[in-house]
Amino acid sequence: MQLGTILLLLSPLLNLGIFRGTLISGELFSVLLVDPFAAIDFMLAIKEIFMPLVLGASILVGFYFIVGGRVFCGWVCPIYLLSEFMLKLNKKLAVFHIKPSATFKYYLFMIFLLLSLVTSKPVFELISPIGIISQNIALGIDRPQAQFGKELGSSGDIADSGYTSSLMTESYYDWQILFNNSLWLILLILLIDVFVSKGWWCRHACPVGTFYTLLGKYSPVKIKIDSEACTKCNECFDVCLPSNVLLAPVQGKTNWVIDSSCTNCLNCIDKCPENALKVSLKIKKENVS
Amino acid sequence: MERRDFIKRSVAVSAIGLTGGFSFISLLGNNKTYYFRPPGAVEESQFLAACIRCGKCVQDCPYDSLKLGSLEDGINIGTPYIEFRDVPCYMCADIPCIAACPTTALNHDLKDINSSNMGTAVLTDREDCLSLNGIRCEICYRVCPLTNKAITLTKHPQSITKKHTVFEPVVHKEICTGCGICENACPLDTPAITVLPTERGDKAAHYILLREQQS
Amino acid sequence: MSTLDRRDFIKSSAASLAVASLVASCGKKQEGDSNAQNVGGKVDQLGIKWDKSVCRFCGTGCGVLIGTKKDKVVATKGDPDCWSNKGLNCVKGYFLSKILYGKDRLTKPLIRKNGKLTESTWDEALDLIASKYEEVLKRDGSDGVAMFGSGQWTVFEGYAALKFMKAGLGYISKDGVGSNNLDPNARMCMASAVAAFMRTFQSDEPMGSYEDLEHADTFFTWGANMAEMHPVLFSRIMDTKMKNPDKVKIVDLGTQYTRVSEESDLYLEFKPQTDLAIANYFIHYIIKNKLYDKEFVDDNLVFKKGETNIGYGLKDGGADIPKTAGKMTKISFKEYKKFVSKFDAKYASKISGVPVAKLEEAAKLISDPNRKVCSYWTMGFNQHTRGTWVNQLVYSIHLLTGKISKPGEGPFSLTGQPSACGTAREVGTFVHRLPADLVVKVEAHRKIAADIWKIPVEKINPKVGKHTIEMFRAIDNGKIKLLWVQVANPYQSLPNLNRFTKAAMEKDVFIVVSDVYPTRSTEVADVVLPSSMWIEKEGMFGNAERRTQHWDKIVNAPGEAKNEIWQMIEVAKRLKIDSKTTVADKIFTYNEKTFYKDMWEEYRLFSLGRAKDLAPYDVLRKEHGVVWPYVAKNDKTDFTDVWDGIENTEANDYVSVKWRYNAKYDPYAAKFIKDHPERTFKDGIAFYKASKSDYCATVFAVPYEPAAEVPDKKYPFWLCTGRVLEHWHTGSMTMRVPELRRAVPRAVVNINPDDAKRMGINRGDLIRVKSRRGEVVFPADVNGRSVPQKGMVFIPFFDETRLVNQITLDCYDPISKEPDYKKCAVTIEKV
Repeated sequence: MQLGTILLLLSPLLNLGIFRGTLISGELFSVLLVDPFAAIDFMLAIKEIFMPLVLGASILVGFYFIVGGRVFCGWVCPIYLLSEFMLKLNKKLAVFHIKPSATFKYYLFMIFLLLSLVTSKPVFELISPIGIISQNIALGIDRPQAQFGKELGSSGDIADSGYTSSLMTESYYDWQILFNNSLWLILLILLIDVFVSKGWWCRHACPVGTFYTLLGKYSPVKIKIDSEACTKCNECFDVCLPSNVLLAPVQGKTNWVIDSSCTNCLNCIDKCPENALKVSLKIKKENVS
Repeated sequence: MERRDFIKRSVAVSAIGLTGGFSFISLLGNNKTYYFRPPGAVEESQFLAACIRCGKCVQDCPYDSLKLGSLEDGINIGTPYIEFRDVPCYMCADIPCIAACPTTALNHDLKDINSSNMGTAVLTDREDCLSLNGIRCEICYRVCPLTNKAITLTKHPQSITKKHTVFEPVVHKEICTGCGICENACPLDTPAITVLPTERGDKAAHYILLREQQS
Repeated sequence: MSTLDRRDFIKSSAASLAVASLVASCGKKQEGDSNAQNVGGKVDQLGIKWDKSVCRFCGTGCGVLIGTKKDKVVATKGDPDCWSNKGLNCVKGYFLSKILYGKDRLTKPLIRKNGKLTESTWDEALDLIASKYEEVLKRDGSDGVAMFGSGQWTVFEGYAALKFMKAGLGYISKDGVGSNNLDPNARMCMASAVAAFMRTFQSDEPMGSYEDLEHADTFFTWGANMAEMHPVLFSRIMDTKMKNPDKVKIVDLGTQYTRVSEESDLYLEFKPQTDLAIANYFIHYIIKNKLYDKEFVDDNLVFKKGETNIGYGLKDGGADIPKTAGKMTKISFKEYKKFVSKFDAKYASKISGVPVAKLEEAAKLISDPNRKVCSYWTMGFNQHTRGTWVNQLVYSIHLLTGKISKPGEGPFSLTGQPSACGTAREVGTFVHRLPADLVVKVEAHRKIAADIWKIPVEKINPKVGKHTIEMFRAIDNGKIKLLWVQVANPYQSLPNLNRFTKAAMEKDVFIVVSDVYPTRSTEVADVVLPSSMWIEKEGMFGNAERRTQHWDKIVNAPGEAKNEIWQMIEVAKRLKIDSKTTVADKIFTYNEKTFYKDMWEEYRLFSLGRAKDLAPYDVLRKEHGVVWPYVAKNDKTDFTDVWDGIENTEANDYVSVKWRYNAKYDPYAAKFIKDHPERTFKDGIAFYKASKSDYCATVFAVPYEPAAEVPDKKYPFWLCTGRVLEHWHTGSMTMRVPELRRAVPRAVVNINPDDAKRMGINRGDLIRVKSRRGEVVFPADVNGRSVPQKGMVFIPFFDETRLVNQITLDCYDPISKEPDYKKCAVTIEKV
């Protein structure tokens, strides 16, 4: 799933002209896209409105509004992917079991926005693991580019002498890996995931996720549960990063996964031995029974 | 069982501690005084506010001149900056970095790269500068993309031989874009000409110099 | 690379510098001063041994002192005692020591086996070469082999190569004569200047010295970017200008705006090749305004007319060149006046594109009787399909105005290689030459050489060999089967390279390359011999002002690298004449202990009495360069006027002649005047070498003729090639200095801003430059250090990763046989 994102981030290396940039801001087929949360952060920091940015963010807002806010997390965000792997490790290695309260993420969300407003810096973007990881993917592998003449090699006939001058073979700029040490932050998040608090970042902290949670409230794409088929084996919980979203439906309180923390990652559908889960459009309001 | 638990705990704590520690040490690990921004960057505090750390400009720089701040750069994490000695700004006419910027961190109104202002080159080490010692170097002068405008040569007699000329490279603040090609090219181990922020020793407006009267 | 602490170094140099500056500022230098310090490997308190040497790069010949410790160069400094540079260097000279220590130095002989060069032993390589020599010489005779040498050869190497080729091979070859297929890369550098000197004065090399730079008040630079190519000399011009800014004028004539143009008072930008018209206009102006020195003309000059429509050497073997191309017909002054009368300002302006007013201003300056005028040029004139003509026209200007052979007055052809004069010209490593201006064609000359070499005169081949371009064309045509390249990189520097590289790879030719680093030439070689370079062997260079500079072997060569002389001797030893004697026994008979001295003293015999007298070995070893003619002073010689004092005098008996032909400074001229009481000599100037024209210098009448390839619709741009300050020639040395490589890492194509704007080209864009012979891609530079005129592009040739010579044209001057790298037609487009 997110591998697609990673390929997209790496695509400039092949000069396909599909995508350039990172998950904070990028251009898909030359259309500017901006992470809406980053856009809000930015506008709070500089306290003015910059239209291209608003436009770029609106496209994403509209898209995720329709397909489900946290689809970003479940389908795009590489951190979420890593966090999912950590779930498995956590099962074996967890040492502590800290679980922040359900409202913690909303407080954190507000704190980040307020900080941006007060300090005039887009504070979350400084430490945004989404930014860090996508920058490291997109920029970390450096293709020898059109350096002021470096890539040209030579023209005409070259005798393959097997003993070539260093000037011919030595390139100033070769393919190189340029990961930067901001990746420590990501490792830190993941280690806490494993040892301390299951999925803490994606479930309880990430303000981008929180933003999408809010956005996805009325999204029509939801997961439907066939409560008759469900045997309450609870296997789906193991693969669900925002696991509490399944709680209500599995307990039979509703047929829909209505909690907008759901990322529509569809792991539960794959996992369910009874095929009790499926994706559906939820147009009409349904009462919780 | 208890013993296993203890090991698990210590592994967990030390892993998290070490990673956190590394991150923290990294945060302290940089003593750079200045961060030189891409062409068209707005004033520094504005820039830090406006840059959303997306890294697009870094990706779009065809010469890899732009680098991305990381943990050790503290508040500059994720922002683009140039290390002239490494790769200077080669002053693309189409300024791809500005085109890439989704925010107002880089001035989208800047169309002529030659009027950008990333800093100003300064002949910082006059004692070791080869040209000032009479060696016919003046590499900075010749590699300057604004040849003979941003850097000109002032001639002095060579005091030891009394037969040669010392060609002194003189940088003109108002023309120099701070692209850093001179700093990059300087053949000394530590460059004698370096780019510094343009705002430095700015003259007050209350006095008009003779030089300014003439021009 | 240095273990030397900087502070210690400064301390140790302080004392010697103090002495040096004292000496330098004293002005007049007396006997004994010249070896006050640093001679003969003195060791300072830091344990650094200091020896004198000379810069490995251009023809300026800057002296340097080499500091070594434990067989490694740890520091260098400019030699304050060398008159050519007085202790200064350019930035290339600053990094001189680093050229020895590039990481890919060749240290083992390489032999091509199954298409790949593989390491082998000296014995195997030398046996192979010797067997090839034997095979080719026995089968095809002396025409089947060739050697391509260099103006970077030390004098010894050039002399050894000359003997090896022109005398030694005669013992083996089928036809019993040596091979004259010996040409240096100096053919591509200053052959036109040589031909013109010979045709005008019948003696090669400039008459003046670098001291003209201080004496002159009007400098004409003809298509010469001295600011970059002869930086230390240009620094002296600027100093002269600074001292007298109102009087001193610099006039730059060129096809592109260079750093000289920037400093000039008057810049004439002419269309390529039209320097012929401009020079003729100056002559026209001088004659029309009666500014010529009448007495001087009567006493010293003869007028000659050249053949016209002499072709461009585009066809193999020079088939398009008339046999009479070099012919000169004597005419009267009146006829001459008539000839130049058509070159008025309007005509010259129309052809050259220079406004009439500017032409007149320049003509006024060059002909002003109250001005001391010096002309300087290098490749703009020499690499020119009418190079000999245009060189001669400038001599004609100086001759007509009598501004010649006097301090601060004279034409001066600068050289680009450290020993273009010392080795190529003086030793005569050309296809037609023997040492000291002697030629193989003349039997008397061959006799002189045979006597000195103690060989039968029949061994010297009277037939002139194949000059550079024809040599490489002959390889393509299968005529030459064995080529030995020494100290040169022709497969980067030849014009129309694609043809020659292809021939080297595909034709049945055995190529030996002696070099210090892998180059484009070693790539096509069958055998690569690792050579020692520069101070890794004893040597001498001769610079543009006729100064011969000696250095001892200072450090050992890395690995198995060996001197080229050793290589040639070893091959000669393997060439057996009979069971007992080898070629080496016939030509390299020097005592092992005094090898270089013996060789020098033998070579010196050529120069003595021919007004080319070289200094003895011991003097050269001691002094920091000695200018020839180095002759006994006679009564008529007066030195009081010599601005820089007397150089190199031993008990004031000997003198270095700084202004040849001038009786005031040149004992030969003084004696000649004394011996010819029937003639008058204005200003005491006598062209005593011009025996073939009644001891008169030749003023030459030739018109303007277009270049070999002129831009047209399909290829609308002129292409000019050249150098930059930071890199030297093919860059095999300077590109291995990390600092210089960082400063200028690649060649760029310089484009006129108007053209660039029209074509939407910006700095850094990749540009495909295409000619009828190939295409190469370069990044563009607009408004950079060189701004070519509209409709012209300039590309330096140092960059071995993109070879501009793949698109240049292999036309040449039919007289000097020097190719024209400055003019061919190309088209450019954005990639």
